[in-house]
Amino acid sequence: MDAPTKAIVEFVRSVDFSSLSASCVHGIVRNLFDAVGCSAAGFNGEGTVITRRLAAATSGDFAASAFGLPNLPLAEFAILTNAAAVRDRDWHDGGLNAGHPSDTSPAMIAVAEATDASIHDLIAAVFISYEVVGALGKDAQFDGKGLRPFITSLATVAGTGMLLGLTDDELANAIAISVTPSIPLNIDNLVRQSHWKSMGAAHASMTATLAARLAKEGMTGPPHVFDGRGAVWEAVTDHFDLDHLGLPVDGRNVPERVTHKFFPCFTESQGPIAMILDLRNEITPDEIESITLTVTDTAWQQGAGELTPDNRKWDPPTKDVANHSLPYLVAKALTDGPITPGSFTPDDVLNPSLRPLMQKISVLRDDGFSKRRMSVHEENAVMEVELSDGRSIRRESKHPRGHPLNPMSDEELTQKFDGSVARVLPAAAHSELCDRLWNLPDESALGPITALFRDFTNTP
Amino acid sequence: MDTITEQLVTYTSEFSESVLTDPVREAALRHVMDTVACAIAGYHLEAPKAARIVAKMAPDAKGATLFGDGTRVMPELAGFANATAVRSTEWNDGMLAMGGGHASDMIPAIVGVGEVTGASPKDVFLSIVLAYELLGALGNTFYRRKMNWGIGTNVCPAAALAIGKLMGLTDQELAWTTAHSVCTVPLGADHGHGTIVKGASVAKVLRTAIFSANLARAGMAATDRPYDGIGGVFEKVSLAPFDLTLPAMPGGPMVIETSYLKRYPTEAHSQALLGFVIDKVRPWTTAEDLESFDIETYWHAYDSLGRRDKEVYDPPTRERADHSMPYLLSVALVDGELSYRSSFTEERVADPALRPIMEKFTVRENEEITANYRPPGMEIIGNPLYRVKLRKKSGEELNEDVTFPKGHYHNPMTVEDVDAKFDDACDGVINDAQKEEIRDAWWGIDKAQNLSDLIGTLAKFG
Repeated sequence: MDAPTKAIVEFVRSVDFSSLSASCVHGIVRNLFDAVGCSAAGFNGEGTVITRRLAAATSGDFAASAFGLPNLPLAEFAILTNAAAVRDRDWHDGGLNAGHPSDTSPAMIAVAEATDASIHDLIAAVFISYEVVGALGKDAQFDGKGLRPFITSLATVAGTGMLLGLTDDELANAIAISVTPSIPLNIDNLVRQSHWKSMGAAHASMTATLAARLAKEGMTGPPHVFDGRGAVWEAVTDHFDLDHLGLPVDGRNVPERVTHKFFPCFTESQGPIAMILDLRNEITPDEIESITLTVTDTAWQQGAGELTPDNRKWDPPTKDVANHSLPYLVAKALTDGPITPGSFTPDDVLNPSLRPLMQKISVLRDDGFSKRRMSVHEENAVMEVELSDGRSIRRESKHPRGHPLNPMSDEELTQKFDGSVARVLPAAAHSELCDRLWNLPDESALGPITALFRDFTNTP
Repeated sequence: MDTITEQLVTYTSEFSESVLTDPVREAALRHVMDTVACAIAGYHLEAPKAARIVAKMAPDAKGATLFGDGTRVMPELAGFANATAVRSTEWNDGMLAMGGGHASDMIPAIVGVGEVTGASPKDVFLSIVLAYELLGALGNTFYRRKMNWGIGTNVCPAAALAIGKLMGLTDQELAWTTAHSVCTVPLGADHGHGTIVKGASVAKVLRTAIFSANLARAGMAATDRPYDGIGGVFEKVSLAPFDLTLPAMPGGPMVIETSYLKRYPTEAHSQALLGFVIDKVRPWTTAEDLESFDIETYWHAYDSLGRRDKEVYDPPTRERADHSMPYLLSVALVDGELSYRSSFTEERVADPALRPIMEKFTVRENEEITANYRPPGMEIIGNPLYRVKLRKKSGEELNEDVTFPKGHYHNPMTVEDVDAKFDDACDGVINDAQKEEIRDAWWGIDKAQNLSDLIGTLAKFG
């Protein structure tokens, strides 16, 4: 067993619910609660609907609930469509330099349901998956390398492996099987986003769960999947270690250190949107001469990039590009107010009247900001607005609402949840789901919650 | 759509029966029948058993049949489990293209999709020929193994497109299928590391291939530039742009004609020397009288079968043993045969009596042979050469250049050879009446009317 495999196996073996602090458990509850709300927002996403159709055609002994399907599909397909729903609006948690940890939560819930696991085991499995994501995000070692589904695979297999009761050897095999056939390509994600943008992590979570089940049935995998010849370190990443897996930072574990998004768009757009909304009280779009936004390299890569004909972020054709376009998001917020899921209808995204304002926006990157993002997780952004009357206005943002150092309150998370869930559940069911999720550690069984997942509908 | 995607889609879309000349048809029948033999031989091994357990958790009355078991399951998982059986004995076919693979791994996936879509045997047959051609053409583009990508790297798009053809996908859907199929890349670590997942490594990719076509058919869009786009195949996998030529050998034979079949259930690059040892060396010397057996060959054979750091001199498992030149040649010298039943049992693999014999073998690369291994324009066919020098304890020497093994394009296995292999595979697994039923059915796939009748012959082994 190579070192990373051993670290994951030993970590999984060390975790049980009773070892988790109360604040960590509350963090997990907040994250699951937010993920379910995001799935309601993404319930009608195109990728979600497509995968729901595929899931509906499946069934089997290892089955789990999918949002909006009365019958239980095969667990892997429940995971695929549920994770697609969570991901669809780009509204779910993050901030770990390793993607979105809640991409793995549908797999934990589905496998917990299929194995009739206890709520406490589910919470422990979610903890495991978040810690693996957090550990792989250390020092942003994979940032910008398109490896987020790879991280999702490892986090999923660790958590589902625990729920399936894998032995150490079985878990090591599951880790190997989850990774070897499935190194993801992050093709064109930054410039021509397609349905697959929402599916890479969902697919990884699906295949990682299958890997765990194969290992449980006796399938072995390469014993040196990280340090072997042709293995991960040689073919995909450089050497990394997971010695820090599970260790708190400043007294907080990973579930307590994630970002929750106030607006349904990429993480580092949250600050610029908040700044322009603040300026909205002082200025109108007609007064704008120019807006210069200076951000981290990550924000620049994800939300702007070079102004080239191939880069659609400067003229987004779809919601999936628009929610990663700083010019669109800033112009839209200044024109219409807070960004919501309703800000990305085709008419909105293609609205020609926004384009002149978008063309007044420029986005620069600052090395110092990028370094501080890596070293102390600041999301620095500066907005400088030049007005036609010669005035200049400047705003700065470092820890936007939802950042772990400026967290959304439980009440804010509930408001976010309510806005989405009210669209897919009748009032009584909506209220019941909200209560049960906030009360999760004391719930006696998962069944009543997943039954409400199955009740999601377009006509609540 | 990038150029490579457009070529793949156009070729797939326009592929028709006109390619099925007599030589192509005869070759394709031999490869299909060989695959059936391998599916039967592999049925009882560990990896296919594990794969079937998982597949049977997804029963589907309108799904695809698990060979030997009879349960119909989700086609992705039937393709996965059946392909694992085909591959696990290391006996199925292959090609020598730089980025090719064992093409017949794809056949169970295509047959399974044909079953659920109600396709005719003729359409399935045509899709199989297409899959081979696509794999050969993609296999000519970059040296996958040198980059440590898994053997399924190009299998996925080749199989996915052939499956998409069988499903009747539009050009747009075929383009999405291509993109979905290349979005997950298998690691080289999944192959040849001595674990049973080796038999399932490409099978897992085939599950992805079917899933990719299903996603596209359901309307899931994907990038239109999976090859030349940012973060795409050129940038991350091949590490350079490449040109694609379709068909793989313009004006020459089709890939299914040139792909090899295996006489022995062992790694491809051992086939020639196994025939040489059994037919020529055994009459010349015994293992005891042999002092040394030195082999110079091309890098690929050395890397696959001769590296001491890959445990080839002390293989711990069946999967390592069938990729160990010293082990395989020692068994051949002692036993006079390589059998999927008796040559790879735990006891035989661990047999201490074989170790001193194995130490008499050396394998090293000869760069001149490597340079000539894949002649330009004939990379898929290849030019495997083994320069051997044997010496007895008495001092007597035998020097020879060994080349084209039985099953190679230049030394093909005949219908009779394939039938004999099929008989061997069935022995003890299938009764004689069923064996003949299977034989009659599958040699006639190109003219059969009903695919269910063919698959029905494989529903239960016993």
